[in-house]
Amino acid sequence: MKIFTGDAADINLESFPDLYDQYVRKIFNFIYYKTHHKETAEDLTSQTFLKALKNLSQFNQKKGHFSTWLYQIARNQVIDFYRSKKNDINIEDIWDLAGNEDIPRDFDTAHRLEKVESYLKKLRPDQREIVLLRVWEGLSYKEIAKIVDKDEAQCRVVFSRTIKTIKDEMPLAVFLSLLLFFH
Amino acid sequence: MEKNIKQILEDIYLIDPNLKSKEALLLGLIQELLSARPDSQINEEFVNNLKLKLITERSKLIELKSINKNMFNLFSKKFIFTGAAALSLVILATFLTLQDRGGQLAIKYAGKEAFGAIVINSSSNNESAKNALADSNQASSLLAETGSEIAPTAPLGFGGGGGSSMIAPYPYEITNYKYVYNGGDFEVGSDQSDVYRRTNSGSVSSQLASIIGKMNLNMVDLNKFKDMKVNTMEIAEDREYGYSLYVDFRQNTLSISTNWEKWPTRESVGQASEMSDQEIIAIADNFLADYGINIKNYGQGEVQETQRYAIMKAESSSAPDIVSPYYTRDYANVIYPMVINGEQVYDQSGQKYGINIGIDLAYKRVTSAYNINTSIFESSTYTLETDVNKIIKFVEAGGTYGNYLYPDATKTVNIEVGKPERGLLLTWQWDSTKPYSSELFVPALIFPITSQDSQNYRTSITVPLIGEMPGQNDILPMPLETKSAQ
Repeated sequence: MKIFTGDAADINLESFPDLYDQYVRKIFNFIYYKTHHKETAEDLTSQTFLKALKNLSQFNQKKGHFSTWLYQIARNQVIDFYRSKKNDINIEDIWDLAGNEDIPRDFDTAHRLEKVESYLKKLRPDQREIVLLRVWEGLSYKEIAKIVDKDEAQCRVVFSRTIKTIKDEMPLAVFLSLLLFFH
Repeated sequence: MEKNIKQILEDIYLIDPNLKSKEALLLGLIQELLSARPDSQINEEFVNNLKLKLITERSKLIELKSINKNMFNLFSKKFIFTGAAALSLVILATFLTLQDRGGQLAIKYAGKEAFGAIVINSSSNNESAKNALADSNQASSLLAETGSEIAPTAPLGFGGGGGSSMIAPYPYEITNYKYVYNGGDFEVGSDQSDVYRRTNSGSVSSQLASIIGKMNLNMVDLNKFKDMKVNTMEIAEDREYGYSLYVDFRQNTLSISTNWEKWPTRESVGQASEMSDQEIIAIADNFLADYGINIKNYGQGEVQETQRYAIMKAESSSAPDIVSPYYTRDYANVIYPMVINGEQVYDQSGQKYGINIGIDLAYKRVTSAYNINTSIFESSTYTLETDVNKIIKFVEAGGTYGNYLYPDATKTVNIEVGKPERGLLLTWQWDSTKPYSSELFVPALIFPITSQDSQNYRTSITVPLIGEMPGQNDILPMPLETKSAQ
């Protein structure tokens, strides 16, 4: 598979199937972390790539990296999906709705997230995105910077401060259980 | 993972060194986050299906882009806009689009046994065989009226069709060819495998029709025709040694032949008979490169083997002067074998199937190119025949193409058949709701013929691993004239 650098010459209709191969799993994960529901994530991944394909001529390399553009489309698809369902302009993703029973969520995922959900929900969407991309996806700050359209240093700072915030706001009981559980 | 956690923590300390004193807690927090990571394993079937959809959408966009570009050029260069000029550009755009599609192999999985029952149209059970039999019976009646005789004991009809003219002249010897398997043990392997069916989105023909519908031909108002689609199209190059292009949008195929009005009358025969295979293949390669015909899903060019046997047969014939020049050394065909998921495709006679380039060796020019298709398929899993004894029995009966043993033969020639390889067999599926058939590519065993005879043109025997295998008694022979008819 050809690896794309994001150079303007690489991004065209001819190369789109290869771009798809390179990004489909990453975009799916990105969306899944925001929806917790595989069918919804598949649907929004499809819409993301179809939209990217149809608007490829509008992609302007001077304004950013291809992955930044693609992740922005995915982010907007998720926002549009939940806002259209709840008619509420403040909803960004499932984290703003967790606990709402009429929104589908995969049972296993909801169960796994029980312990961390309370403090991840309190984060701003951009903070949560950086934390999850760093910890769950294992991405470097360079890669995260392209996705969230910030510079690397900003991403490092946001990540460190978010982790510190979680630690500071963590209830004492959870604090102790973590210490006991991991030591 | 440990390394990753360590790196995460070090990055945090770089920003806020005071947090190092809380390492135990931070470590616990990161580990808890990691253990909460959802299982986001993507479904590979979804990945493949979406890719297929995107490739289809991309083709539509390329078509529109190409058509728009040509239309833009047409107006910007202030050409006189006539129906014919516009049509030429539309065809060019379409041709380029077909080539683009031809380069991308896309397979959408349709589920298990999604194509219904598969019937292999072998020589023994197809409609053309039955029609040929009927035609031959009519021929028999006509010949009887004119005083000729047809051997009364010879069964009539032959699977290749050809109507009443397909009557073999009285042979000096009635020879039976008997296929004998000597390839040793073999196994079919897994009892499940995929069948492929070529698909057609139909988008090109609708878009072309919408453009053509806006033209004023001064004969008829095309706007009045509703829901138009372009089914077929032909265009010719108006130059010396020009070609004609024929596009069938229903089947997404394209063929090229000489524009006979622009080629000189051919008189020379046999001038280039000593050309090597490499020289012949080079002519075909250059033609494909010159016309941008994509052969990404095809193997290297090979000179067609049947040609050699036809030449051998022509040279050994007692009446070479009546042999068609197409069976002499003046013409050659180069096949670029089609490959789907690593498996080579064969036709029912056992020849490799793919893009076929015809070359006139005297002119050293390509005269035809056909089987240029798109590469968009559906696949479906089917259960295979794995009974080796049954398969060998079918091979010895001639395989898909059949073999008839004349009851009054004066000579028997054993043709040895070697160990098989897996491949895909091209067959057709008829659908009563459509005016044309679909191409199916069915898992098959290809048995090479290891001994040759100048009268036997076959190079291999094909055995489909799906569908009913007909018995030897079902195979119909070519009708024979009797000695008194000579």
